[in-house]
Amino acid sequence: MKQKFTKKNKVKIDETVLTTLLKTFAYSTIGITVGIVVILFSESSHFFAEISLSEFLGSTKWTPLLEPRHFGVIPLVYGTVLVAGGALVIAVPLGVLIAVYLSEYASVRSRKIFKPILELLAGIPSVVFGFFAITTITPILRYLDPEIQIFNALSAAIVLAVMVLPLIASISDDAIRAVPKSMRDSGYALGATKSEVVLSIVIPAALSGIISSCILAFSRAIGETMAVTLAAGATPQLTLSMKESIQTITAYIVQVSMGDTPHGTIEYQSLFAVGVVLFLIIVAVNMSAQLVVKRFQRKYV
Amino acid sequence: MLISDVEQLNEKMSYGLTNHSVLQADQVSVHYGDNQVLKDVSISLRERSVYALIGPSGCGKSTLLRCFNRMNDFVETFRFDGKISFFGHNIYDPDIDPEVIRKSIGMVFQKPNPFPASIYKNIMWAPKINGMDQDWDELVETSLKQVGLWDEVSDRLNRSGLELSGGQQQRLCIARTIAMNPKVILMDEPCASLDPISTAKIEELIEQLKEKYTILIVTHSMQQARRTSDFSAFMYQGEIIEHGITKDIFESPRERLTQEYVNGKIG
Repeated sequence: MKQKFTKKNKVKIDETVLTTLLKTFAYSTIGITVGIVVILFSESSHFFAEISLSEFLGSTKWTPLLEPRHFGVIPLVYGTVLVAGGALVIAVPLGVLIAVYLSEYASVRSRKIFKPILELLAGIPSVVFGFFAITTITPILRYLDPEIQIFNALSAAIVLAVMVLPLIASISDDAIRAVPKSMRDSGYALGATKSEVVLSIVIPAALSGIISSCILAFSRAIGETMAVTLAAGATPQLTLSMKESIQTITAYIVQVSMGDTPHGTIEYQSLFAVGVVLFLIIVAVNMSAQLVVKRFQRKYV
Repeated sequence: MLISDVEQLNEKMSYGLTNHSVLQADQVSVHYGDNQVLKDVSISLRERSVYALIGPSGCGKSTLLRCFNRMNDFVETFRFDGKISFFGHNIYDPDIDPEVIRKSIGMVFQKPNPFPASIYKNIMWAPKINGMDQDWDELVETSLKQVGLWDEVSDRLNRSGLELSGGQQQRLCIARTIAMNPKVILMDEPCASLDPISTAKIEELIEQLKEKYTILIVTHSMQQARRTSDFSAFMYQGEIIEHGITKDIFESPRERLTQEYVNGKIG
């Protein structure tokens, strides 16, 4: 009786230790996130002690390293959105078409070949993509149109499109495959052809997944650093032309982090300020993805 | 059953298998890979009658049902031998598109599967993609009235079909099928996922629909077959053991197997 009791107690202790351990690891991710956010905001508060919020959000010039200094974040945000948006314009149609092909039309065999290659594309380091952009995409673009600068937004958008393509294709593919067979059957039983079933039943039913894949791709494109820094250069400006160089938020962070910016200077603190902007944009984008999923989600019986 | 009903049935029987037969299966054999699921099945369906396919699970009744609108084409290992005639045309003729067949031979599934769209769109979807041009309001109204759903949903036609109850969803699916103005409606255990009250409504509906359509219903419930059908076919291990007037099948079956099944000894 006594022995049995000890044994049970030991099991209980083991359980408690394991649960505590698992909890610690789980909560540490929250701790790290909170830590980063706290540091971002507290460090940027030094920046905003010197630069007014209206200058930061209102000025259209970003020249933190040159006199006269201007700290208007708009050109950086614009450059970021321009490149990421351009990437989506290319990647969304392609990605969705690939997903439709893979899920609905590809034979089991070609799917088996296609999907790993697509996933391999997602595994290529971004610096390689950046290198690919300046050594391959840009020269081709400049051959086609000599007006295009060596560093240009178009090349960055194209390479970003290639980078987010697997994300869009893969998530959309999952969403399309998740549409229940009964839904397709109902279309076929009414005399619809395959393309009619795909276009007017399957894709609308998978729309929430497809849209959220696009939003996630946008978020990924906004956060992408190496490839856009290499391809788009470092000229923060508000230009409609994608033939010119621009600077994204991430590229600015690279530029300043790589230089010998002394700790505590305004340039140094500006890193945190733009970091906050980047953070807020990505949080907003991801939250909108959640909203879209909720809004468009169709429940199947 | 009234004498006049019996006479009517006899008349239908004597009308000749060829003249008034809408759908006719001739020596149909089906294989899934190496597995034979239908063996030399022959059956003839006449206009404006309800046929029930009964038999234990796995006897091939759903497979036979799906042969009639070529829904088995989606099964990769499916192999078909024999002939199915629809008003004299062989529906397995290589020159005939299965889509064309399915427009005239509608189908209702075991689980209600309305589109995740409004009630209105559920009805007009198929006629619209098939290029029919008509008064959609009228089509929606008449289709819903035929299934007795109009009074229940006329004030919320723009709400999703998925918000309806299971029985209403199934009637919506039937309305959607009727909107295509088919000749035959195939029903694959249409009440299997419904409660008794909804089931009663569907059965009542089948009774009304047979005035316009030929209905072939697969059912697990012998009571349902008795209540709804004019003719029944008992299937066992891929073969039609016996078919005839429902009353005869249930009350004076010729075959021992049929007798054992309807008396609940097998299946």
